[in-house]
Amino acid sequence: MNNNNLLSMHNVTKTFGDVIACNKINFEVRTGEIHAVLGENGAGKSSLMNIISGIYIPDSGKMFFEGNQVKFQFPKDSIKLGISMIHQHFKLIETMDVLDNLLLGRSSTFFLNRQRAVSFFKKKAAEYKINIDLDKNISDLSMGEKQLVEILKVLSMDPKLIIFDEPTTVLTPQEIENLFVVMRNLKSMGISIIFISHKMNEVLEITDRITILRKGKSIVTKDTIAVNTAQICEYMVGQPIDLHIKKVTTDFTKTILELKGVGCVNEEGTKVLDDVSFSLRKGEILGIAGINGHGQKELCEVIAGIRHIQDGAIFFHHKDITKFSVKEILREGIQMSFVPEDRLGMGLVPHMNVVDNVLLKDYYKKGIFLDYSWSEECTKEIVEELDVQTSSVYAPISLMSGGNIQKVLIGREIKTNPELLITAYPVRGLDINTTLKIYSLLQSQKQKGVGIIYIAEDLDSLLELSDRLLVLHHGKVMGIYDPSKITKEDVGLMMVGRKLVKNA
Amino acid sequence: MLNQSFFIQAIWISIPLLFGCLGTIYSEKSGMLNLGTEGIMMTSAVFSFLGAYGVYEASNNVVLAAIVGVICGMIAGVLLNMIYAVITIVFKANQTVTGLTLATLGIGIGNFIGKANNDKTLPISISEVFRGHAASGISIPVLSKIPFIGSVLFTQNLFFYIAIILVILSWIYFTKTRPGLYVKAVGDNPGSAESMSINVNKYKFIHLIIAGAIISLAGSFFMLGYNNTKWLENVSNGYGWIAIALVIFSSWKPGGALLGSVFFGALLLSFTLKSNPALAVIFSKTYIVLIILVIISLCFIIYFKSNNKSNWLTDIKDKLAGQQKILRPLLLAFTAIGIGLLIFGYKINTLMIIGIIIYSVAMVAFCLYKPMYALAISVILFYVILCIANKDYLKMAPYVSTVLVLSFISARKKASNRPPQSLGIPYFREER
Amino acid sequence: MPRIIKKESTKKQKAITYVTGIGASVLFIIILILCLGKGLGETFEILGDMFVGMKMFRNVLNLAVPLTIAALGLAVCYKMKFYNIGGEGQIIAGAVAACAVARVMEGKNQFLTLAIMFICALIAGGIFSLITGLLKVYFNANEVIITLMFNYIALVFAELLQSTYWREGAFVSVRSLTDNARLSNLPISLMLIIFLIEMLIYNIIKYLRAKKIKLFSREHKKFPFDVKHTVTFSLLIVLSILCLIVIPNKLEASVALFFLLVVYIVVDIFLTQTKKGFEIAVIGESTNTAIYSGMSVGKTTIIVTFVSGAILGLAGFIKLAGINYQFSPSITSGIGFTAVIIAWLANLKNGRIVVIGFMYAFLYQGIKFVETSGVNTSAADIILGMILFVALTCEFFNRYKIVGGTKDA
Repeated sequence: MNNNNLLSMHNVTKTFGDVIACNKINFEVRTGEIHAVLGENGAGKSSLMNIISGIYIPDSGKMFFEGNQVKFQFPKDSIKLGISMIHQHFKLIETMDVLDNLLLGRSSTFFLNRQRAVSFFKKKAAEYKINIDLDKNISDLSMGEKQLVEILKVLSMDPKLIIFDEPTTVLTPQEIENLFVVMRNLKSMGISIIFISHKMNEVLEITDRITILRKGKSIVTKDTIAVNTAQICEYMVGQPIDLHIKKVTTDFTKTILELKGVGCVNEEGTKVLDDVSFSLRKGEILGIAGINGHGQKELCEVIAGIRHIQDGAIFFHHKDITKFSVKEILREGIQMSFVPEDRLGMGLVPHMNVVDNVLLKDYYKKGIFLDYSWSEECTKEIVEELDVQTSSVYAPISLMSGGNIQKVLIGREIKTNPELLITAYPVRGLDINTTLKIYSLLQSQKQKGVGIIYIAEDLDSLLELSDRLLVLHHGKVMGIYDPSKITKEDVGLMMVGRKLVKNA
Repeated sequence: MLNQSFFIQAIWISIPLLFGCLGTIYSEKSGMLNLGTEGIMMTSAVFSFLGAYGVYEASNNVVLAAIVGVICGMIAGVLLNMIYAVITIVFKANQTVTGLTLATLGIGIGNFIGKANNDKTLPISISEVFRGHAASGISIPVLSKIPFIGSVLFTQNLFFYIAIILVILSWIYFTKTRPGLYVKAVGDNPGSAESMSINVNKYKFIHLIIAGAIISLAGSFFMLGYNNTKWLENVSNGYGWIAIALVIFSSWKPGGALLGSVFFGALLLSFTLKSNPALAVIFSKTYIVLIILVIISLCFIIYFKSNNKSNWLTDIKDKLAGQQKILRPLLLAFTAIGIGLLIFGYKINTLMIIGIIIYSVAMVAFCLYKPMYALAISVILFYVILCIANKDYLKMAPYVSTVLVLSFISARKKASNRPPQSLGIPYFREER
Repeated sequence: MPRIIKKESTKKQKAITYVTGIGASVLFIIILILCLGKGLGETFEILGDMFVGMKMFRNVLNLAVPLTIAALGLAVCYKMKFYNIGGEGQIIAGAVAACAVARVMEGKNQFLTLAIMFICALIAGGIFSLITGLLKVYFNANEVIITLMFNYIALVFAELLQSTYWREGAFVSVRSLTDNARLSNLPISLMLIIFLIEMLIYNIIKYLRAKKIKLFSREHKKFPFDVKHTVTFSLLIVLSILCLIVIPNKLEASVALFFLLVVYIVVDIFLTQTKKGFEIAVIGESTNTAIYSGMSVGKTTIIVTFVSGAILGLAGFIKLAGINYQFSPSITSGIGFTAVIIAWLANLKNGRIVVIGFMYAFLYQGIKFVETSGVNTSAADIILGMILFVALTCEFFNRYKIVGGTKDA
């Protein structure tokens, strides 16, 4: 074993049913270094970190810490050895105050000695230059302050390795600066840090080495000073694939959808959409690129009427539909379809059969009794046209494979002849044949004059299919571009926050 | 009336409620909604009875019999709660149904074994272990000489003292010890707790054991601490269900449990108080009752309408919200005057009518501004008038107050009085 | 170290777990009786006696009918994952309303009296339940505790009625219903046959409609039913014939059984054929999908609580007008709570609720009959509890499986 390595992982694999989250990953971290892990969503970063911290148990592979082989059954096994994780979604108890949350991490006595704890934590906080008020209630703190509490909590367990999972997503620029100061202090104290992020400039600023993951595999590990942003992007997004998409053009001019200054805040108070404006024409595919979790889900939901917005307005054929709920959209006869990212959790009911699921789109029509006639016709057509493989349309839909489930979902949404079709990650997790089929479906809808919003992670398909490409970063529109005049690297850079210099 | 003996009796009634409530607090704080309290009380009652009987027959020693009886009851209660624990934690079954089944099973076991042993009797001397020879309570030296409080609080059943000690210990446990802090985390956010290397399932199990032990003391009280000598069918008399209501009332705090159970004890006893029949005339004026009911319905309607789409109601609501500082005390004053005139002016019709009009106006305004308050005040007023009319309605008081308190707590966002967030939800770590 | 992960199980696996469950339950009953000090031979004798006791069909019917109606009402709520345990209170509400009407309409026309009693019971039960639904929708209060509290509020009110408002003379009791307020009686065997045949016809029609089979067309030459349904249907026919033979002709009971039939058919149609029923199923499965499809969770909750409360009120009406004939606070006989457990045991499937409801009634009456042998009635509670625990454990094995630890590369 390399004595410089604090942690090393060999051929670690983890699968969830059909999905391979980690595919024979090799990874190592040295003592006293800040090591970044980059990769798109689904690349395997979270699963890898969960394995290191003991939350998931790997299916195969070996892990070594401080030279000894380790096998974690519980998170506390890893914590005992000195591995701590600061999650993206903080694991703080909202109803308790800061001191109590800190005590959760560290306390070996039966009776709590709050006085002693206060002085202990005040000392530790001063040591690492962390500024917080121990008496405040967690629910009253800002995100940056909550993160500081998490860090302090972790520090009280004398960690040797701290994993920061996308720590800067919810911070203001000042708070990010503060965090970096703290991280440099930690490094100088000999603590290793794994830093997971999507923001290129931060990674370049603070880290010593970078490892890039893609589709569950570790691609490359390099010293930070030895790479530039362009190379990083290339590693992250990979070589271009020829998708054989023959792009069609249309010449409709009517505007179907318009968003003006849309702003939205989620349940936790974070702004998920910030001054989003764009318009969509008939027969146009508007691609939306961006790291997952930067507002795509919320964007779809506000247009579909599932989520309320705080600022701005939404227009459909120049009609203000800003305050419309799903029911009102249906009632007004607005032909809108939405293929959500969460297929079985939002778009379909897992334990119902195909016909019932198709009925979801039609059941609300007049009358007390259900009328399956449209639904049954439709199901038959979908199965035939999209070549859906299923033992019976009356079996629960959860038993079908992912590809077939998605075919049913998209098929159903298209069958209502919408004018606007919103699709979020429609080909995620699907095999190549189904993927191509869905691409051609989208093209044929486009020819019919349907306005399509296409949200995807795969930059190749986005560049090939879209008529215009919108890049989203932390809920803000980085720009809307002509895909033929832009490269993958440009998009990659915008996705991580770098504004594009050249003109669109 | 509200004299010494009333309070002494109220505390007697509060003892099993306190045990039930305190025990259930332990299980609910760890996130387990256990409805089986009544069953645990019944089962532990019958086993403490049998334990005491067996030991007494063998040794003739009353004190020993009492102690063994209590211990037997505790073992029975813990074992019963363990069945619940295994089924809900290991087998991840629905907590509501399992709890109800536990209650049915426990009541069944209690009555079944009790009836089968109908012939056995315990000597009165066993209960005297707890109640003292004078059957009025064991007195604490010095303190029991204090007038009034001395005989109410310090000359009480031994079980009461045990309960007080448990309340104090529980308070220390929850606020000043490490496991007490951990269990709060487990109840609020088990995922976070697990990531802090707290073994969530272990905590749930242990707290269910403690809960079973404490609740079983109520069962032992029914059979040994009172003056029961034979088995009574359904000896716990629904107190287990009241204890579950009490937990909400107590805001999941041991101190609250003590205050709440004494309060409920007093409420349950209150129908023995003499009422002023003249006041009952308020209820007989049907139009008053009708107006109050109409206001309650109005509150609901306005609440719905003003919360949804924008219309003229929301505009008025916004305007009123702006005037908050002046408006709130003004409206409260109006309401108080209205109610005051209504109740104290019962002899004079006109006063009552004026009172009702002022009250109605205040309520309607309140409806637009803070409908929840208007609703709560109206419901409480209606209920109070009902109780004045017929004091038997006071028997409902524990349940009505629980519904009001729970609705209020659930609607507000204040964190400290809320139930443990994961209450009733099964915990499953590898959820992806 | 073994871990637990989720899985979907096949029909065969489910069948195996259920059979094991039933076997375990029977074992428990035998062990229980043995514990009472009876020998093995005597135990089987007691089990045999229970069957003799089951011949008390009137008692069985009087327990099974309101119980099953209550369970059906609760099942509607549970399908939406609204855990309503307020059965007791809603039954009382219905009984109170029916009794109030009966007292006002003493001596009037029987059909009219009963009809108004019926309607008032439905509305009373519905409104009583509606309040809890409103509290849940607007204040997000935990429905388990709220419905539980309302049970006791209703109970206290019932005690009040008996001791104060409706009191008769020196003793604390309410006067019995006059003849015009009582449901009329019919021979049990006749009613059971009609009931079974109606169930048969309804289920056959439902099955044929679902499979889109037209009985008299030229296309289908082969037998239209699959194994499971053939067995069920033939069983129903056999049972009807048995009724004719076994039950003495003179034995009569109230026509409550027809109410059960109607409730069953109405609830079944409501849940499976109507739009609202579809919404209930979707909301119960996945609220996200429901909102995505434009369903209103709050509105549906309110409607469902009203409907289920109304059905439970009907159970109260039947208890009053068909069985007890006299109002008292204990008019529910614990049916409200037992119905919760029956609905759960039956996994919320309507047909199964009827079967399990009747089986429970048989078991209970059988045990009551052997009371003289020393097995007292509380045994029924114990047995039911144990069976339910077994069932809950079986559900676990259906939904999750246990796997071993990790392997190395």
